Amino acid sequence: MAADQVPFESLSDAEVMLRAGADDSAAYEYLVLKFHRPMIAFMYRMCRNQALAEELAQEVFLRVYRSRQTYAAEAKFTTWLYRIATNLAVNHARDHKVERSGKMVSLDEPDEETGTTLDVADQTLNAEQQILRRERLAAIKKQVMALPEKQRAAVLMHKYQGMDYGEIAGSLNLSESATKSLLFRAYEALRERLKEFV
Amino acid sequence: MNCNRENLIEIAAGEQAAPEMLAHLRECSDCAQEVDSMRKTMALLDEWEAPEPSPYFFTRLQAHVREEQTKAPERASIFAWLRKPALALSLALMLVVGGVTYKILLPQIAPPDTGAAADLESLDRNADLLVNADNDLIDEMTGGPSDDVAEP
Repeated sequence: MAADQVPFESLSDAEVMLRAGADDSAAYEYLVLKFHRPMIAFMYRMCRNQALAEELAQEVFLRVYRSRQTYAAEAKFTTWLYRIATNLAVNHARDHKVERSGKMVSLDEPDEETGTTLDVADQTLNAEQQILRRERLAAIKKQVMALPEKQRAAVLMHKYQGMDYGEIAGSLNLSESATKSLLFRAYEALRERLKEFV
Repeated sequence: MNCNRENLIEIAAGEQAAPEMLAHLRECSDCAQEVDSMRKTMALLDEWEAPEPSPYFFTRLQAHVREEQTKAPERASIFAWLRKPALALSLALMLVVGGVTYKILLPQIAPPDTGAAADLESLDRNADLLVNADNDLIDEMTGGPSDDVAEP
């Protein structure tokens, strides 16, 4: 079988990215298709705004496209991808001075960006349980948002993106031991601040 | 074994932990309690679900990529370097420095005025005078036309 016909699924993401660098548009589309959902989710949890999350995710994939010819597969593709994403999200937050910790989370009003309420009502829960659930969710969002940027990014990568210490360390430009320590402090803070809900 | 609390995350997250760490947990109730509490916190975080991507995400991204593709040939054009501020600035600086240097050095490059040119010019004028005098003399001898203005 010719090298060109090898299905992308059988290649590493870094190898597919190298193909994209050789102007293989199908390779680029494959990567976008594979990573767009987790990337939007990551951005959403970083900035808590769906429209902005999609905008930032678009910018991440555009940067990937622009850098396709200079990409060197020195680290895992996800490490590189999330380094772009974290830098973008953190810079955006700094530029726009997002007041994370002071942001009030309304339990009843629809989310300002998504137009949805904090959570879709679960029909199996009674009214009181639904209120409690909403309160929990609001507290989770608020406390995750209140973490310092690097801690927040580390927790999101570890908890929701399923990345290991090495990948997180590479994305945040830290050593593995520093990452471990960062994650511990973040989880400790969340454990303390959310203890009434566990 | 001492309590290395940073390692508790791995256990709470269900990742592979060192056997000695697991053994420590069986003996240290503080650490065991912390793992339990950490595990519950992590489970609590699972409740936060991200929304579905908008159906227009790909369409918008494709439009951005097409925009990038149309920009690319422009960048490759002959004057593309002009859009690179560093290159354009370097060129402008080179032109200015070159111009100033030329102005400063020009007087030194020009040959010094020794008076030889003036001498040559006067020789030319003398030669013309001699030729005219010869013509007058010939005209006088032959009775030919004279350039002299007739006396009134």
